[in-house]
Amino acid sequence: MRTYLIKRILQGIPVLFALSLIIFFVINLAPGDPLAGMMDPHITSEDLARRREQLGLNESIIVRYFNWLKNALRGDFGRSMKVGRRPVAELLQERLPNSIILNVAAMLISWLLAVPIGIFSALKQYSLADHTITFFIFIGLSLPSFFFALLAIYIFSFKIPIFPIGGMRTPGAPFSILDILYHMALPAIAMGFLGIASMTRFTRSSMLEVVKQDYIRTARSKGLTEKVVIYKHALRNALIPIVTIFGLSIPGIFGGSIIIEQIFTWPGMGTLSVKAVFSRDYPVIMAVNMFYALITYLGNLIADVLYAVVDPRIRYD
Amino acid sequence: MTQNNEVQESLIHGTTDKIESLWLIVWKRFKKNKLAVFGAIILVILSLSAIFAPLIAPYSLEEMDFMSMDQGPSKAHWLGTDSLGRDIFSRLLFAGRISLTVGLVAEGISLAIGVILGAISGFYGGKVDTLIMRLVDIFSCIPFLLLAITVVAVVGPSIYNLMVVIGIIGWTGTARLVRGEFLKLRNMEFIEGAKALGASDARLIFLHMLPNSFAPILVTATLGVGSTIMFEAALSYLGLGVQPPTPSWGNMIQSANDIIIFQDKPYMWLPPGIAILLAVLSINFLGDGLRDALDPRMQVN
Repeated sequence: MRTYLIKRILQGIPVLFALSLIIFFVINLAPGDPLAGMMDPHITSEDLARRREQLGLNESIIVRYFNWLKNALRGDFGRSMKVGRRPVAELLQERLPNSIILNVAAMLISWLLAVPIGIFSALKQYSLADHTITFFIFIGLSLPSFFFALLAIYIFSFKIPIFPIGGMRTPGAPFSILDILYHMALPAIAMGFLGIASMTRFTRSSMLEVVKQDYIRTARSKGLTEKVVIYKHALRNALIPIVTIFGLSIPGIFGGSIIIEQIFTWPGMGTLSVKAVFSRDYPVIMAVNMFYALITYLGNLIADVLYAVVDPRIRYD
Repeated sequence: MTQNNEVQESLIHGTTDKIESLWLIVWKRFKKNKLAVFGAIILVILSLSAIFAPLIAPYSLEEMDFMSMDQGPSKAHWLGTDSLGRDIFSRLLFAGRISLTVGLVAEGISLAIGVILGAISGFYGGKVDTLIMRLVDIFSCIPFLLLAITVVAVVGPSIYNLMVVIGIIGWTGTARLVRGEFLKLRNMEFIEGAKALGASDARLIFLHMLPNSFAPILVTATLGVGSTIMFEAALSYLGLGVQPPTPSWGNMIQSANDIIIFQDKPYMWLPPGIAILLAVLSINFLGDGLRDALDPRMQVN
């Protein structure tokens, strides 16, 4: 296991390195720069040249990449070109907890509902309930997340005004956890519900797969009650692949929150990314992309490790 | 494979009366799946209304009726008019053209890249395989939407850039799938037989292995069109996709960004959203039906 972990982590380094290279070049080869949008008649061309020099835009792209890499390895992702020239690392630190609480809440909602629904659906295969659940899974998989979020706001903030339309805190109100939870409810529910569709489908097929196995037939034939067969023998095995989904869903749920955060004006990583992209804030775009890449890589690694932990048949040697 | 089994069975049982072709069997199975047939019908209707949009639409795309701006649904304008006096129903039909085209073309691009790279990777193995799979790792390390908005922000938002960007980023799943299929097929006897007869690599790939991986590729491609339509919608909604005045289902939902329209005129942003749901849902039903119909393990009774 230890050698496997070390090997995997070492394999990740060139992947992340190549990725940073590609993204850096794509972003920087683009025509126009962050200053192009600020064509203010009051700024003279000398001013502009000085600003370019300040931002390091005059160096060759290769020099700039290695400068970036050198600093990034020390945890310094430069300063934002917009948002008050603040250090990027500081921006990420500020936004990350907001994203994490929202994503964890959404994940809890979808898991707590999806696993029982999926198992129920599998046990009652081909029943009316199963067909209904399957139909709703299809709807969930076919609804664009942003449209679903808009519907949620329309219904629960305007028609039946129980939730705020966006943001994370009531403006002017003192900091309170309750206030944040109140603002978090609707985006978390919207995100959680979208996640239910695929999770339910996964749990259902995993359970169906297990119920077909020989050891379930053996358990039945040796006279165990149906309850013991289902909850002790089948369920435990059905949950194996579901546990690994936990690892795989870490990056997925972060990525999926980009557009939801944007719609609910939730001050997280997602809104930061979209804003950075729109204002061509290169250092922030670079940092955000690398952040997601790292999370994805770690998520995959965690999935593989969890798989070995819960399933003793799998060994990495 | 199913065909072979049936031939064998009919030989064993001495019944040579009818041997059904593979596609007839698939069609028979597909027909039984009501949701899949429903999806196929809806898709035909949506495609026809997109193709013949200029004939069906009660108003032309640019036509602005200054006498009736910002109006609710009426007999003259089924879904009302927008703030420029354009008929929303007509725009919805034209938007369907754009959204479905983007979905098909972008999926076509990613399918082509995915099949070619996956085939090379699975067929040749070794260093080429490692290289291509590392490339897949790199591409699948970043959430699709983030990578897409990053690239679109650089190359500029337009309908063509959108198709190319979605196509270029979205191929990794197909490549993995085709590679897996090829690895399975590579050691099968009929491939070894063809090799022994001196078939060239191209012949092996295109005439023997690709046709045998057709079923899973068709299913992924079908489902892929659905998710591509959703990505187009998301990007266009963010303003990074199809640019107004060209309508797409995604950018029509942008009207919901205006709080007054959002609150009081849901007939302006609901229909395009429902259109996306309907299109993607039908595609998912169809894809799921195809998966079952093409699965040789499923029995026909």
